[in-house]
Amino acid sequence: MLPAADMPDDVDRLFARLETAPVPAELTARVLGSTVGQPRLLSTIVWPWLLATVGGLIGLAGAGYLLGAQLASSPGLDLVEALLDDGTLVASAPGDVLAALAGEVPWSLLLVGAACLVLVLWAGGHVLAQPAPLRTQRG
Amino acid sequence: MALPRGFLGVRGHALEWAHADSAGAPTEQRLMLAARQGDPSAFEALVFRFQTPIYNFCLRMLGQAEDAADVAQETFVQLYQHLHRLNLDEPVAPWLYRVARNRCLDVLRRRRTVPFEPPDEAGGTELADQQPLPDELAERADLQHLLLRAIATLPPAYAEVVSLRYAADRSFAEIASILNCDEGAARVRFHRAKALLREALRAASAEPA
Repeated sequence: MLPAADMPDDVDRLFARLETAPVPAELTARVLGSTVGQPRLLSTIVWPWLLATVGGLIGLAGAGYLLGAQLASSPGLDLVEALLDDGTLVASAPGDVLAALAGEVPWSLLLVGAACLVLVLWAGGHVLAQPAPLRTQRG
Repeated sequence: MALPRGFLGVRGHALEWAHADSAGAPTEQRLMLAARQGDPSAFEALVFRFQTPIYNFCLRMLGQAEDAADVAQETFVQLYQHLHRLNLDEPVAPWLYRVARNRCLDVLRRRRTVPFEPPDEAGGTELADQQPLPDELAERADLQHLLLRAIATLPPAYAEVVSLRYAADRSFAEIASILNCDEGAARVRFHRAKALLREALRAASAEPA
């Protein structure tokens, strides 16, 4: 049995007749258009790719700076300049050129830079592939 | 408005979810899990399940259909954004009502047409109006209008408890959970609100129909 305070009184009985209002016809479409109508939520999908892109750019910049600094402080830069100035060097003495390059170019830095470049292209591609977020709006 | 991509495609599945639910499965937990895993029809079934009570709660709180639809929409968008953070072991309804209630209060604050003051649950001003309402009130043709107008006269802190009780049919335990207070406080607030409703209805009954 209900306690006295919970027994329905005349106000309760009156409000029991309060009719349920029908939901506007377009409400469901509006909700779905703002949620599952979008392929994915921007906040849940883009941020990791965006962070990876920024990280890749920072790595690329760092590797490029160190690569340039190392080449400048060694005969490596002169070697590269010579190769660019005289295109016939590679054709005339490919073995010597390769041996010189192998000795003077900081390959590990070059590999890091290349990896960062690949990361930027890959993650940046995912960021750019995201559609613009739809705004929550009336029908 | 153009329907979202796949809307017509998932409508059938959403109805299947709803039908299956009436037969005992799936539970709200299963729907939440499926929606979390990216099943649009499961999310649509959740929207179908809760949109009527949530919209009606907002409508009673705000008194305007357009604002109520906006708040209901924002509530479900927030549900979608929080699918991965909600605890599947707890019912989602109280969370939905909490979100809807907070959004409604934001709208009411923006309107600034009514003072927003939380009631003093321990206050000593007892509302003593317990006189019965005139019997003919129930026979009035404009009863629905009178009831809505009576709710609209309440301060928001009383309107929310009345809306949760009468429009959303929530228990006092659920109301307490939604309003983040204890059950006793929810009951006290409701009974004070009822006294104010009685006063408003008696005043309305004196007007010609």
